[in-house]
Amino acid sequence: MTYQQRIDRGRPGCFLFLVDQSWSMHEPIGGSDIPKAQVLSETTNDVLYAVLIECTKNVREDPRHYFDVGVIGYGGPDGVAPLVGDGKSQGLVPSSSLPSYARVVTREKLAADENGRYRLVSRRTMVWLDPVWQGSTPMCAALRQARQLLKGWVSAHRDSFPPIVLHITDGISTDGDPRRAAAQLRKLGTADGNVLLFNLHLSAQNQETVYFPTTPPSHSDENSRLLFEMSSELPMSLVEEAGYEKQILPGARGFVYNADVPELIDFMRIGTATTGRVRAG
Amino acid sequence: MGFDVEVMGLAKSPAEPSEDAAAFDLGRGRIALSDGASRALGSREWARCLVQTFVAEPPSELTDATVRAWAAAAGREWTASLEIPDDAPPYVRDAAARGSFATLLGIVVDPAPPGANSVWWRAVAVGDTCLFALRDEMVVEAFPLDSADQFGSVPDLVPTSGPEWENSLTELRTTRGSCGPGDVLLLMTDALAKWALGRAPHGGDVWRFLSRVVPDELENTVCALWARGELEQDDVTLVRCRAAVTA
Repeated sequence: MTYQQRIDRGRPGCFLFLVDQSWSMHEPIGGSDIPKAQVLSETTNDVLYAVLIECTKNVREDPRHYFDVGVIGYGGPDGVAPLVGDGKSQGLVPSSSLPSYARVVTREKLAADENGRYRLVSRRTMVWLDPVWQGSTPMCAALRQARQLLKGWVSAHRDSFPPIVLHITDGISTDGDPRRAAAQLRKLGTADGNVLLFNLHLSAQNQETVYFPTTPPSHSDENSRLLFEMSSELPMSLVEEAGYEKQILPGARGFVYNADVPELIDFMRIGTATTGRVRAG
Repeated sequence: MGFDVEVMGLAKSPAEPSEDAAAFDLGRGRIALSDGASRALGSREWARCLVQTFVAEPPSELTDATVRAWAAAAGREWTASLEIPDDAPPYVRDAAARGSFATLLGIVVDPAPPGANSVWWRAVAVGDTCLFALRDEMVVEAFPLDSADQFGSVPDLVPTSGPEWENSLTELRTTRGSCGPGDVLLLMTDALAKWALGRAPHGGDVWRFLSRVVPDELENTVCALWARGELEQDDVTLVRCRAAVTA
C-alpha cells in the first residue's frame, strides 16, 4: 500500500510549489479585476501560513519540523529561482524555519463574529511571496529544477510520505514539451510512493472548468490534454482527508483547468491534506 | 460491587510524552480515557483536561446537547490556561484560536444498592477510543467501533472551541451495560483497539492477553509489534477495570 505514511519529525513530509510568474500573470483572474499573480501569491501565502499553524504544538515553542517546504518561481526576474529561503536552504526550508523568511503584515478581512455577523477585522498574518509577472514561461526548466531539488530529499527520507508538487500556471511552456520533465519528476519516490505532481491552470476568462477529471478533457485544447498527462493520479486517502470524496471520483488526476479562485483553494487544500497526517514526535 | 483499575501503556516515541490521558475516581464510579490529536496545539493538555473534568464533574446527562455544553465549558478552561506570551507571533495566536482536539471515552458507573452483585454503567464516546466489555474473557460489547476496518485517519474529535463542534458533523455515541463480579471493562486508544479487533477473528486469545497482561509485558509486546509493523506506531494506553465484590 502506498501513500499511507504518517508524518512526524523523524519522517517529515514535503511540499514544493511551482509558481508561474510569467508576464501573462498580470491578467485578471476569471473576469475579475484582480491579477492572477496576486491571487496566486495570496493563496500560496495563506497555505504556507496554514502549514505553520499545523506545526505549532506549544505557544512557547518554535513550530516543529514536520514538513520541508519550497517555492520555485519561474518566469519572473530571475528565470527559475527559489522564492523562499536563502543560499543555505537550497530551495527547501524546514517548517520550523518558515517564520524567519516571512514578514508580518496586517490585513483587513471579513470574519464572522460570535453572532454570525460578518465584520471587517484587522488580523496579522505572514507573507513570503509578492505578486510578480515578467518574462516567458520556462516550465521545463522549473520541472527539472524541482527534480534536482527532490532527488536529494527522497534519498534522505526513504520512510517519508513522498513529496507533493503543486504546479500553478496560466500558460503554455515556452521552453519545450514539459511532459518528459514531468515524467522524470514523477519517477522519483520514497518507499511510500512516487512524487505526486498536481497541475492547475488559471483562467483569465469565465470558461468551463475541468475539475479533477478521470479521463483526458474531450475538447481539443492541446494544453489542457498536456497538463492532464503531466498530472499524477490523486490518492483517495488525500481526497478523503481533505473531505472531497463526494466531489472527486476514484482515479481522478490531480489536475484543474480554467480554474478560478474557489478551484485554486480546493486544489491547495487537497494538495496539502497531508497536514492531517501529522503525528507528534 | 466495585472496580479495580489499572492504567498501562507507552508513548510512541521516547522523545515525546504520550498524548493519551486517563483518569478515574472509583469512589464516584467515573473512568475516562482520551487521545489528543497530535496535529493540534496543546493536545496532551486538552486530553488531560477532558478526562480530569469528566472524572471531577461529568455531564449531567449523556445526551448530545448536554455533552456539547459540558465540552464547551471544558474548552473555555483549556483556552484560559494557555498563557500566550505578549510578543507571540501571529501564527501562535491563530493556532490557539483554532484550538485543540481530542477523542473522549467516558464511563459512569451507577451506584449499586448494598449487597447487589451487579452494577449498571453508561458510556459516551467521541472518536475511536474504544471500550470492550468482557465476560469470561469474551467480548459482550465493543463500543463505539467493533471491527478493525472502521478505524480511519480522521476520527471524530472533541474540539476546544464550542462553536466549531456546533458546526461539525462530529457524532456522539452512547451505550450502557451491566457488570458482575469478574467482568472486565477494557478501555484503549485507537492503535491497540484496532490491533485487538484485527486479531480477535483469529481466536479469543487477544482478549485473554489484554485481561491479564502486566505493564512490562504490554510494553514488550507493543515494541515487538511495532518492530514487526503489526501495530501502528502511536501512543498506546490500556485502562483495565475489573469488577469485584467489595467488603
